[in-house]
Amino acid sequence: MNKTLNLLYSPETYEKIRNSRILIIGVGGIGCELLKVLTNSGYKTMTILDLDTIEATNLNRQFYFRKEHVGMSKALVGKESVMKKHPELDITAIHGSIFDEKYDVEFYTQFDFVLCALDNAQAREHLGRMCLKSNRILVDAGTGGFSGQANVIKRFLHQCNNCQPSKGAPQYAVCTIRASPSQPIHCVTYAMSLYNLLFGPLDESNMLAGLLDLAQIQSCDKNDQELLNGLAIRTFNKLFYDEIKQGLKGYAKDEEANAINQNKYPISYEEGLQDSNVYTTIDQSKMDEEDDKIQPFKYYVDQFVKTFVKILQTPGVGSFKFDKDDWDSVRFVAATTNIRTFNFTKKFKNIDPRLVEGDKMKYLSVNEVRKMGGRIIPAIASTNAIAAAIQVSESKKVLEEDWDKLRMNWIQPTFDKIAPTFLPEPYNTCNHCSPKNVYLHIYCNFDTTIFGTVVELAKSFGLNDYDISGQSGTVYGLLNKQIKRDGTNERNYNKLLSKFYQRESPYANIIFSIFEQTSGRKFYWQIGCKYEFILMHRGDIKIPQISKITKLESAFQQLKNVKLQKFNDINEARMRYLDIYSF
Amino acid sequence: MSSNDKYDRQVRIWGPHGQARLQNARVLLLGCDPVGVETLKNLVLPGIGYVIIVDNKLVTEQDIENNFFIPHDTIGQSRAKVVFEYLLEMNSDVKGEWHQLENYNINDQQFDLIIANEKQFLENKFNLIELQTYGFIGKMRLYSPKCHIIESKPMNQKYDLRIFNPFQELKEYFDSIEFEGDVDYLAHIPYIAILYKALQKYHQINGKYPITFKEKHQDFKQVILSLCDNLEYQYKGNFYEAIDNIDQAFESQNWKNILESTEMEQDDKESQFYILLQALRQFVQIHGVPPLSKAFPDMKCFTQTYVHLKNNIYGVRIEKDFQIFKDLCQNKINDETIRLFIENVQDLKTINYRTIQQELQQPNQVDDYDNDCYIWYILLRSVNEFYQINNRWPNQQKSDIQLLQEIVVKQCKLVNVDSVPESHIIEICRYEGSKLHMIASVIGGMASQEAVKLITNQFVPINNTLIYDGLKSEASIFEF
Repeated sequence: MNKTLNLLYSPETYEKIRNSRILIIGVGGIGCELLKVLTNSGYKTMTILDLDTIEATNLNRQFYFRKEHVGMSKALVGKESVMKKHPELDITAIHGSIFDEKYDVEFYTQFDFVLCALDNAQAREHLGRMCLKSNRILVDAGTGGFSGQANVIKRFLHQCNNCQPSKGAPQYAVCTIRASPSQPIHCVTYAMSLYNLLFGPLDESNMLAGLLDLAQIQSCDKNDQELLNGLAIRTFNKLFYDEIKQGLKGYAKDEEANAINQNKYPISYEEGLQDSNVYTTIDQSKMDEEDDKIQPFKYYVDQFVKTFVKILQTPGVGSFKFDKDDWDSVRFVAATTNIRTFNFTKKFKNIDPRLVEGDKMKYLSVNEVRKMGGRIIPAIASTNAIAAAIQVSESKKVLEEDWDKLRMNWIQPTFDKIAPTFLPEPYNTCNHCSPKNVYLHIYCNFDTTIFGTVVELAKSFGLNDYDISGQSGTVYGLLNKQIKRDGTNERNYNKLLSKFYQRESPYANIIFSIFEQTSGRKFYWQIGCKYEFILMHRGDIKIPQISKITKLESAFQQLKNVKLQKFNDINEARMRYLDIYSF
Repeated sequence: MSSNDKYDRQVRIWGPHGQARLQNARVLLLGCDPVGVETLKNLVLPGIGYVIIVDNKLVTEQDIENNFFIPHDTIGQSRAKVVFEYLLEMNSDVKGEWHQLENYNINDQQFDLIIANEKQFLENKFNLIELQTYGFIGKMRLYSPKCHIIESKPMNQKYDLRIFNPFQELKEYFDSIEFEGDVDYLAHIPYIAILYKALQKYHQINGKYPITFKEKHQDFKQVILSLCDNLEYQYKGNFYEAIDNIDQAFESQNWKNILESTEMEQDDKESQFYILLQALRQFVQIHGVPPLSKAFPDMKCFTQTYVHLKNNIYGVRIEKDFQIFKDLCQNKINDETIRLFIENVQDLKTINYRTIQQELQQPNQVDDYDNDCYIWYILLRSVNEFYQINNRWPNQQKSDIQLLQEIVVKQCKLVNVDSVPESHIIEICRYEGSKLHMIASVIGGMASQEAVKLITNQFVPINNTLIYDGLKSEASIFEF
């Protein structure tokens, strides 16, 4: 029994905190702080999930980790370190990606609410969508430099993190740039740093500092063309062959090294010159400018060496900084970017599984590289500490169901440091969190239930012109004339739900999204919304069940009885009943 | 050495020179309350140089509950020792010492920062952060004997482009630009030249330069648009860029404030900042404007034009001004610092802090406040006074509430406030001096941000008190 907490919290709140089950996504900068504050605030049962391994650049703020942990799983080491101080806690650590379909709606429904401590926009948006689908409250936070924010997202009450495209300069994780790039920008950033390292003034803060022996490059005879060429090729091989091969040594375990090894492709200058493939699916025929096109791979290999020599011969070398108006530097950076992309993907199809939903590592044209020269917003311990503590403070309000007191908490470098504002309401137009959307959880046996059940359910909702899409595309279409004509509808109608899997892990949730798409015609339910039926497998269930089924059936009945003439009435009535449906 | 790599992210905020300051800093922590330890944690992680932890208590059960750095098997040991060991375990670069003492003698010692978090600390020789958490309420008070900031790093970078008062070479360039020719040429005139031309035209028409907001943002805007009347819309991009940057057309006065507002004490005459300020004064006397700083914004124009402007026109001038300024500094300052000073000449800042004694005797009055933070400040003063009298914190018993109420009345008079709501008095009695880890973490985070500002002498620290209301998660800053 914690005396301080007992004194300050009401007994009910304290009890709720003791009994809550929470999920923490991300054991990075904010995650470490979160664990610290949570364990000192009475929380007992938690699950932590993180995909990453510990890197040296994490150590300045992620205090559960030490130098000897570099290369190990953040989630596992995090758990171990927390349990050392609090052996009485019940912590489950998962080393995995939230994009993994194992972590489906059912996974999330185990928890009372979810705390987000991610630094990556894609993962965050994915988590936001999962929380909407599973009706979990998301306590979100993010920081950059001295600024940050922490807020709660409750479904249909607050704007979700998919509502608006992220504003301002995008933020990229620095840690990944040296060791494991997973987005094009990571390679661009690497390339810019390399440019500054090679041709710029000495800068300890360069993230590639120490990578190359610079003395050799700076002191060589700038008039000896052959010597410079040789130097360029040696540098090439060091960066894109030796470094890639050897970079794996730092990892703690052999199997991990092997796993990473499989996704890395060292390439030497000689090999590179022979690869004349163009790695892109973009139709390039319509582009006029050479610099908009993705060139054959060997082009970049050639460019790297040529620009390397050219820049070294430019007067003033040693004081350069990447400049988007200096075409030599742009071309050098573009070449480096694409060769590094090759190092980590080889072909655009071999993508990292965690990027399935988002941006892929792809090859970039010179102009794209030029555009992407963005800046990196760094993270520090102090701001993370504030954000995480406010998250815990908001969590208390969530458990007390004190919705009116929830705020958007802005952390600012100056002014009042912490400024709460009202949480924005969801957009009616948002594809994900608009209160018009319906999310239904349905339990059924995938081995005995046919897809037709879903169609009938949609019909019983009064839907007329709609398409049903599964994870792999449209599976049933009344609107999509082609699917309607070619008999796909009939074929799918009698198909067992288990046949909608083409994957190994059986019986993760299947999600069917139903869009009513006709516009301008006055159908009863023509309000432009989305239904999402989330089907969960239950081997022992014979008849499909919607959770809280009685309530729904009566609501159906009422819906059918409503004879509506005017659009507004439909809207209002529907809102009222959908409120009852969603749980 | 791996430490370079480890600090990679933060160096992007405060630069290698800021990191060097941090790594050479000596910090003294007086008392091991959760809030002080949390603050120090956020300084140990980024690699502060040397820490001295002073505390005379032994670990109790309560410490284990609310202090992250006190593990469960250390009851009865020295708090200073336990905290010291567990804090420094996080970062092997950090060195330090601990003392189990009631009063630590700070005479003859130098500190870059003192963090006091158990009782008030009245010495005002060094940078000081005083912290207190009380139930859901947190307080942070900053003091710095001299706070002159060169790198104030404002959120919006200001540029000194001399459009209003161009130097000779720039004027010649501006005058050489014709607003006639083919569309490709016109569409690529850099916006600074457009602003200059518009200023001249405005002056021709009105006989004066725009002064009021309306003149600047309406009439002047019309003049800019009139320059591109004949152009088709798709070629007008740079003219709209000029409108977006309209404020740059007018003389920036920021640097004047610092010359007028900064009073220097006699013993500061040898300080770098003083010498630089003197040099600036002399420079302005001769040239009428401060030296030209390096920042040059991106603008849409031909690449050659951009490079020419940046290197040959502005670049040459920057170098000239730098040499003149350097001579004025009489070799007392190194080149790097001079460059830094010139770059930031538009954003220099000094803060004169009130001392804590002054605040204790008579805090500044606050007239308008829109949240409870001011009330909590008065109540915190009251409970502290209660503690001084009774040597314990007030609890929920009626007698204590009454006693506290009497003190509150007295405190209210001091700051000229009628009364504070009784509900708040009852609420604060409920806390009984307890310290929540959650609040300590918020205040500790903010305190370490301010600590970094004071130690690196970058960014503008708060002046001077922050009150955090954890019930509503609101914060306010007051100058008491």
